[in-house]
Amino acid sequence: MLVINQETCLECGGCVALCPEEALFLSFNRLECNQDVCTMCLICISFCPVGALGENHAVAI
Amino acid sequence: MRSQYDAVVIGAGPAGSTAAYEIASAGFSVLLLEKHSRPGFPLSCAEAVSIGAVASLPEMREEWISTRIKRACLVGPNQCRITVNRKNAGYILDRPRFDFALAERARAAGADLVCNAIGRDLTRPDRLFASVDVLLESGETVPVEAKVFIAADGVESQIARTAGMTNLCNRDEVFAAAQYRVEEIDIESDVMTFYVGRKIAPGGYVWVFPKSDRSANIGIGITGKTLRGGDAVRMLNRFLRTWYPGGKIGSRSCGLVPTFQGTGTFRLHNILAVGDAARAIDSFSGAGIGHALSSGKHAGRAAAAYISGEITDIGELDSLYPGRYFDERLEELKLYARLRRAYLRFTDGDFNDIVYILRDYFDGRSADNIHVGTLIVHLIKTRPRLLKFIRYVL
Repeated sequence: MLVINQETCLECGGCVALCPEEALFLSFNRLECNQDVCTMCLICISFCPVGALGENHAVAI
Repeated sequence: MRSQYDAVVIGAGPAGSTAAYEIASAGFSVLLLEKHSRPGFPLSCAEAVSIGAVASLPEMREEWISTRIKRACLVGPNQCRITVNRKNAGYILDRPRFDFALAERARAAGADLVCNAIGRDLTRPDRLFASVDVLLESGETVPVEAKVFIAADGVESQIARTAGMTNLCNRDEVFAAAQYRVEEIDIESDVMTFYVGRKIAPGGYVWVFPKSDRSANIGIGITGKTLRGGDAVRMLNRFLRTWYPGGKIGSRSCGLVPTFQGTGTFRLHNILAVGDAARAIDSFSGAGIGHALSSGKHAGRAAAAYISGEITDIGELDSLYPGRYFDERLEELKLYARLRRAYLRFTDGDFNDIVYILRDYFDGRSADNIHVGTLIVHLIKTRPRLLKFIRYVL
C-alpha cells in the first residue's frame, strides 16, 4: 500500500502528474491516494523530490 | 459565484489569470477559481524571468521585482566558472505579489475570483463539456455551467486529465526539483548562478537566484532513470553544505518541472490547457512564466472568439489556440527540447570544456544579442569532438 508522509509532503503535485492510474490527487492542502486504484507501480515514490512517499510491505502482503 | 458563466478558468497562476483577464476584457463573464486562500501562495517557483518573457505585460511594477539580473554565471564540475554580462537580462520576481496582481487585473476587468475552490469533474452530456463541479473548502460541491473551460491548474493538471486530455508526464523526462529560500548569506544581487555536472545535479543543474544581497532561492532540478525518492533534497542539502554552510534555510518548496511534449496537450473539445498544465515550458531551463503568460493570453483570446460566435466550430479554435501561441513560441520550444537531449549526454569533462571555451569566447565581450546558434558553432569549431552532440540538437 502507498504511504504518504504528510509531514514531509510539500503538496507540489508532481506525483499527481505522473500517476498513470490517476490514483493520486491534491485536495485542499493535502495529497491523497485512492488505494483501490493504485497499482503500486512506484513511479511516484521514485520521483518525489522530498521522499515523502513510500510503501508499506506489511499491508501489501 | 453564479451557476453559469461564459467561461470558467481553473487556477489563478500567471496563465489562468491572464486567460481570465483576456476573456473579461472582451466583455464576457468568467469565473476564476483558485485552490489556495489567495493567488501566488504558496511559492513553488525559482521566480526568474527574462525581460522578453514579461514583455507582453503593459507594465512591470517595482513591487513585483526582488532583484534585477545583469550577469549570469556558469560553474562547471571542477569549479571553473564563467560570468557573462547582459544588460537588462531579467528579474527575480516576487511571485506572491506578481501572481496576486495578475489575478487582481483579471478581477478589475470583471472576472469573478473565488479562492479556496477546486474545479473537479467536468460533465460532457454531448459533444462538448457543459459544466464543472466546483469543490469548496466546506466540502460542498457546486456545479457551474460554461461554454469554455480553461485548465490552468499547474503540473498536476487534474482537471484536464480527469476530462481525458492525454498529458500524462513521463517519469524519465521530467525534472524533480527542490528549493530553499536561504537567508543570511552574502551574495551579489545582480548575478544568477548555475552549477552543472553529473555529480552535482544529474541531468539538470543547481540554481542560485538572489532575492537580495543577503538571501537567495537556491534549488536543484534533476532527471534520469536511476533517481530515487528524496534525491533532489539530498543533493540540494549536499550543495548547501559545500557552498553555503552558514546559510539559514527559510521556506522550502519542491515540484515537478514538465518537459514540452509537442502537440496534442493543448485542447480537448472546449477545454483549453495553458501554462504548466499544457506542459508549455522551456524544457531546457525549466522556465515557465513567459510561456504561462503567452499561452494564457492566446487561450483567453481564443475562448473569447468562440464565446462571441466569431468561431462557430470548436475545431476551428486550433488556429487561434494553440496556433497563435505556437506562432510566437513553437520554434523556441522545439529548440530547447533538442538542446536538452544533447545536455543529458554531457559528461563532466564536456561540461568543464564548455565552460573553458565560453570563458575564452566571452573574455571582455558582452552577451547582449548573442544567439545560441552562434555559441554552438563556436563550441564545435574549438572542440571538434563536441560535434557528436550536434545530431541531438538538429
